[in-house]
Amino acid sequence: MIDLYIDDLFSFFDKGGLVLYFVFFLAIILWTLLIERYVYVSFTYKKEKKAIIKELEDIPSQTKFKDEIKRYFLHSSSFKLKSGLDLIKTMIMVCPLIGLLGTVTGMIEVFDVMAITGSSDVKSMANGVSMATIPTMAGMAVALSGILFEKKLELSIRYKIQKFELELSKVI
Amino acid sequence: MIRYILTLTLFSTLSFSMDLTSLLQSVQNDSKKEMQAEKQRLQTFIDNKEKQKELLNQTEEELKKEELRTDKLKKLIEEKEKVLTKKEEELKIKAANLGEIFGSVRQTSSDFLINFQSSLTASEDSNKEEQFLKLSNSKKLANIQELKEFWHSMLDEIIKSGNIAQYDADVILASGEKTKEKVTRVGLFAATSNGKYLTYSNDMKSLVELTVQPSGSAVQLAKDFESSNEISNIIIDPTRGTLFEMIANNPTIMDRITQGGIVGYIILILGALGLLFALFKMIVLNISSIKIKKQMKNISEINQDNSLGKIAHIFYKNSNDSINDLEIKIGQAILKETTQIKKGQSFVKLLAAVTPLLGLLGTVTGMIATFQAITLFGTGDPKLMAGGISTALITTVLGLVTAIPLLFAYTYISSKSEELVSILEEQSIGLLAKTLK
Repeated sequence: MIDLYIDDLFSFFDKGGLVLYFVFFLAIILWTLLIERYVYVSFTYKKEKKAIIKELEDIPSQTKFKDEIKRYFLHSSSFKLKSGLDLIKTMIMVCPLIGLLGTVTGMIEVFDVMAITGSSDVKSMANGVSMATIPTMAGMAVALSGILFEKKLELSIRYKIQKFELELSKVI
Repeated sequence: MIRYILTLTLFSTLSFSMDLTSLLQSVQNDSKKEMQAEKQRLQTFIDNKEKQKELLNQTEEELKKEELRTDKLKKLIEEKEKVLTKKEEELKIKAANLGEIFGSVRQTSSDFLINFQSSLTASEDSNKEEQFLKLSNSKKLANIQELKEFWHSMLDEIIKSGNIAQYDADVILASGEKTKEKVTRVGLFAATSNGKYLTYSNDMKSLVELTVQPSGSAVQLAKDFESSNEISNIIIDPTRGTLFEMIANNPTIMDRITQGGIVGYIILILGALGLLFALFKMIVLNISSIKIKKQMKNISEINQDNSLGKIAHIFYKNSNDSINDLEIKIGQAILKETTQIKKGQSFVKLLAAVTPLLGLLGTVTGMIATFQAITLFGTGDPKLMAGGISTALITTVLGLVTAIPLLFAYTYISSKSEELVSILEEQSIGLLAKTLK
């Protein structure tokens, strides 16, 4: 049963051509980064936040650079939250571009077949057409799945930063 | 006088009359002789008449006899002719069947020869070709021995087309050298030696190495196939060599790039320029990032070779000023460093945006070329259109291929410089303030 699915998968990749592997590779990296971000935002970040607040409690509240120190902590944690988000955004942007690349290489294949055989036989061109359409579809699918979770992540980060700012104001 | 004349005349008349009488006498004599001869001839004729009659009778009898014989012979001829036509008809029927047989032998052997000449099995036994050649070219009727040999070798060929064989054969290598190699032949579909795929050339009467081999994995498969005795995978060409030939027609990457034309070259140059610059920028940013991080860890020891160090230097120098003055002075220093860090970033972004546009430009020029071809030659030949279209598509590919890494590079550069700027802008004061308290 599993063999059957693996065979299907391989034939899918064969039809999609080289570009589909790029899309697949990109999708894996994109999702690894997204999961890493989610894990950071929901688990590691809480621990770090607690540590910062504890550290701040030691600082006397009437120092000369009170605001600056607050801003420093706020910024460094927001930077940590946002790190890698740019790369994710770029990847989401690049996925449809790679899909387009697949379209074009597939079309080149189609026209190569036309140039070699000199005929417009649809059957012989079908290979190129599937090479054109499958990576485009895959690129779109990866980008769409990515963009949904990326937007959600961005919103939750913004919310977390605002919450942290309030907590900091309470401490200092 | 007159007397004389008269006397003379009289005399001459007398003599003339004398002459005439003698003439008459001789004539009479002659006729008498002739009459006698005539009489004699007549007599002999009458005498012969009886004889003639006898002769006639005899001849008539002979004629009758001969006529009888003629009739007899005529009948005989007729009879014989009937037999002859019968026999001829028989012969015709028999010969017609045979003629058809020899025609079809000639036809089949010449058909077979054409197939055999391009077949890989021809490399195994080149004598067979002569046999087919002889049969297909000969004007004579083939004898039973030759016919038997012919169908035996046809059968042999059919068997060979279905089996795998290893044998020594002449091979012309890609370098042009002619050697004898151990060849593995898979039916009519593939022949390999040392992992290299071969094709049969009838002109050179030997196997020729393909100039463009199938991909690396196929060669490895062929090598394994040659050495193993068990069932294993090998790539074959079910079209008997046409697909292998097509591999050679497949354009290489260099061919592709030349197809892109001037626009393609411009894109490539811009892409290379952008990537080199991006690489340089990445290295510079990373070096300064390392220095800044080092400085952050050890903020009390100011090192002026980095941006943070420079700012810290100004901070410590003016730490006794009022907070507003200090902020203005530090703000100035940060601005100076920020421009330094962000310099050149927009260039990479510009190139990342421009290369797909250039690709689009190439697409449009390629389409123009295509439509020009259509106006000149019509849509009849897709080959003419394919040239312009491949230019159009290749430039798009090149544009995308250069834009994608440039985009990644830009993201890296911008996020890295953002990090550095945020360290300088937001953190420098906080960090320093923390140390001062």
